[in-house]
Amino acid sequence: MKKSLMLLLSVIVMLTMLSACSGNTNEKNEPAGDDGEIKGDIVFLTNRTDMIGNVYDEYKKRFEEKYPGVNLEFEAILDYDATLKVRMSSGDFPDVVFLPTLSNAEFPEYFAPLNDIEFSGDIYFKELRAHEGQMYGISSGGSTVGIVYNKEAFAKAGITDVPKTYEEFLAACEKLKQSGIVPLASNFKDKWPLDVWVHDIPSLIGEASDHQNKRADTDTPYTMDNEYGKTWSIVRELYEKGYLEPDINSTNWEQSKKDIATGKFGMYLLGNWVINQVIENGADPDNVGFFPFPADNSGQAKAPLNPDFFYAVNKNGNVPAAKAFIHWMIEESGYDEFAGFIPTLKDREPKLAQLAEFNSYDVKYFEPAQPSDVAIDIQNAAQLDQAATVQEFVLSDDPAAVLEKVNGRWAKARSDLGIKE
Amino acid sequence: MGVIGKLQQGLKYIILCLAALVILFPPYIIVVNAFKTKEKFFEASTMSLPDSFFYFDNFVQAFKQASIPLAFGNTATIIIVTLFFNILLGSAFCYAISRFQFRLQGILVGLFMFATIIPQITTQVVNYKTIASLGLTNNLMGPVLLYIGADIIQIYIYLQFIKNIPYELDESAMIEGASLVRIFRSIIFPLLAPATYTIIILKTISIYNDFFVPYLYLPRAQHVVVSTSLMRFFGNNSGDWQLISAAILIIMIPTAVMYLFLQRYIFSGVTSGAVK
Amino acid sequence: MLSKLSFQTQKKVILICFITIPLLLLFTFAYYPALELLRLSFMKWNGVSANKEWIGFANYVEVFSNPDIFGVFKHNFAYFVVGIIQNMLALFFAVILNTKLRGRNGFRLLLFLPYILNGVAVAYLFGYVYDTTNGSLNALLGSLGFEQLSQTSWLGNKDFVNYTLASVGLWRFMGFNMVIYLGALQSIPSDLYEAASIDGANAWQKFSKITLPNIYKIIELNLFLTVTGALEVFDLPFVLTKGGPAGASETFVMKIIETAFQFNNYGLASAMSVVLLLFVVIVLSIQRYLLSRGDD
Repeated sequence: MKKSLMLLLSVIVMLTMLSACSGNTNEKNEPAGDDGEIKGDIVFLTNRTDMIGNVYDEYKKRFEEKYPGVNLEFEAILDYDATLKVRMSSGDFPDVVFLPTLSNAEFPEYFAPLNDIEFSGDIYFKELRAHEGQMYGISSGGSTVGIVYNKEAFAKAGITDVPKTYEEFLAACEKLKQSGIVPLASNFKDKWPLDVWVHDIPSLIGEASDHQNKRADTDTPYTMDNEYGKTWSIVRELYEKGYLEPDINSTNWEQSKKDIATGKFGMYLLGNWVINQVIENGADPDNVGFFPFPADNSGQAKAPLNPDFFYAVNKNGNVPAAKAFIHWMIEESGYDEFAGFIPTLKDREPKLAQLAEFNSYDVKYFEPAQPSDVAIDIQNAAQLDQAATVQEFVLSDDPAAVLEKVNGRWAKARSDLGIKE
Repeated sequence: MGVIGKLQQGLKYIILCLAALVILFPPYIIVVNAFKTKEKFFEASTMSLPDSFFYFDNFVQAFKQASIPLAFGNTATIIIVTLFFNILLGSAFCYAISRFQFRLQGILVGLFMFATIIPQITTQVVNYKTIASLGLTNNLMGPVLLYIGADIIQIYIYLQFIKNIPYELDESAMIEGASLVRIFRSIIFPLLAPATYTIIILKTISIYNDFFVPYLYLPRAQHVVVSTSLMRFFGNNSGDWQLISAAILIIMIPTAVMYLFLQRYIFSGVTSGAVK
Repeated sequence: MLSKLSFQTQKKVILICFITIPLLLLFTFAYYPALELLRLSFMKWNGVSANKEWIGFANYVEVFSNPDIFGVFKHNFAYFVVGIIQNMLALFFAVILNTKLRGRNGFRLLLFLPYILNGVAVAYLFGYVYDTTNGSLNALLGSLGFEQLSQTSWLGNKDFVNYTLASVGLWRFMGFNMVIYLGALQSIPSDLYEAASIDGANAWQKFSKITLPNIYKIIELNLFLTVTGALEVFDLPFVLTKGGPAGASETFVMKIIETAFQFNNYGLASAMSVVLLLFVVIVLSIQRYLLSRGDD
């Protein structure tokens, strides 16, 4: 009896001790303090789980060589946005993170301004994650969106010149289809590949990148004849003409990369980041081409220039070392080349050969507008998932009715929030 | 065995073999791809057979890249500590509430049942805060604390067994002057063995495969566990599937062996012998 | 020393000692978050910020006035139906594999195998099984001569996509239920069966008169898990269809996650969770009521 009671007691004691001890060992080392000295521990919360144990080991070594007083650790998570939010709400999150999807006005509550990081040249996307003149995020790299295609598949279908207008594009699709190649891999089912039809192609059609913000000014942001209706009608047309996968509700992302590489599929409409992945999936680099998507018949090559995730610094963390790390990631790490990005530093040439080909078409770039909080607030209140709306628009018998329904939700959310014209 | 018996036996085998086919059909793809070279994986259809089933490079590389020994070590630590306390607390709890005609039994079981209904996914924000305030994030004991609590399955299984252990056993021990704790330790707990082994199997596998808790609470490389080690093969929108397939097969081995080993104890007929 | 105490005192000591820690854990990690959830359901909160605003029942009004939110419950029905089949199969195989049978250990392992398999793998391989053009299921149907059937879009048809998804759940968890049943079968004293054999009872009589009543509680547990699981499923559609086609496989918990983390409306998500909780309780009560009526 006594023994058992002792056991029970020891369980309680052990549990308490476990928590107590670990509480101590887990305390962060002294932050570097206000003198701005670069030392101490920093932790970087990354989404690149695949770089743990290889590339990041090398980054750690190189960074700590440059800053001997710093101990750099990596924490890797998937489902980044939701997981980071869970951790932020507990008040305890790593020193360097990627910005979560919150409105810019909320950033000062958690993050340190980064204006004083001195880069060797001008950088892209300075204004995008800024609030009241303070910059809270620095893009880890940039990318553009266009048609990634298999050159052999094009040759096999008898396409000699890349299409410059939408008409030519449809003709190319028809030729591919005739020679037994699936013209465009949409990866419709996975939803995220449809984001280009929500954000990028409307910019090209409307020749302005602030279309998402302008939705805040109206009760009917989605109409058949504005940039959304026109863009989504393109997807619908491609679907109806049989230019997408045979069953768009059963697409397979991993498989599609192999199919582009082998020429079973002809094209992707995605960011340049996908090029390296197609090559990793067995394509000969010389066989992968990249050209701007001709969204209309103007003949003018147009493309968006998009940021990737934004580095941000926890304002209660080790700020000086965190800033040094971001500086190092942008200037010295070589991450942009590894990821196939357009470098954040404007005067650096991208290493990816396909981007040179892309730029040879004399592309007019559209840089994104700073997101408006009002439009995002309405979208959240209306519980609107635009990629899902694209799916509905394409599959529905009556696409105009889909837009009408979405507009109805939008107008209701707008009036609930008390937004006036 | 008569003709009918033989027919019955044959029917059983036919049904079992059909079930086996259905079970084995989907994982086929994992097995064939684990043995493919990178080139073969890209060129040939995902369904095709590998050139050879003696190509082990994927296993070697997966073993290294996923830090399998470290991951096994961490997972084993979490599971052993969890099981020790979970079994001890769970069986004692069920003994206490079922043996003494305890008025609150229904309410207590109800409490555990109701807890199962609470959607886990939305309570994580609060639980993360609790674990963080105990300083148990980035600590193997954080997940342990979350796993230790008794669950409704465990409680039902233990109650089911305790109910079928005749109370005369307790009474005769009491007459011989044994304390209740001693009765629990030397009579009841051993008789619960099939239940305990069932729970060990189910609990071990659920912890072993749980992805969500370790990836939220143990994101550091040195705390990698078996389920999160697989994340090493996932890039941005990409995965090395021939390596993932190999890794999945590697990490299945210990649980499969454990099940084979432990099921002998489940079915050793401890209760039927002791009841007499 | 303690054995000198009266059994009454011992009982009290044991009750307190053995019950305290499990209850403490239960309250810390289940009931405290649940109460917090209830509190948050009356707030406007984005899930991250320190600022929360009390808005009364506004979130609940939103849940009940928005038909999009409630409509998805009908998608959960498929999981319920398949869950029942899953339990019947599990019990059937448990009984078969509890009899004397050559190679039964091998079959026990085999049927349990899907549960051992890592969840990441399950999603991956069923993506290939149900693929319309390259999928192994359609390839098999084609080679068996079912030309028409082999064109089926298993994950793309609004009418049965939920059954397709639920069948993955059946494949994965049938073995799990089976092991619980197998474990429970061991608790039935074998002399009951021996006595029945002497009385000349056949297999079915033994099953319905001895097995079923003796593991009634465990069947009830499994049904409880089935109902709860059916109403709270989210991982399968989340990975395999993203709720598609056009929202046909979206489930209520998926909506909750979307509301909390994509639309940054944690307050509304909490209210939805509370409503879900109540809904599950209602369904379980009905089920209990029907089962207990069946007993009379």
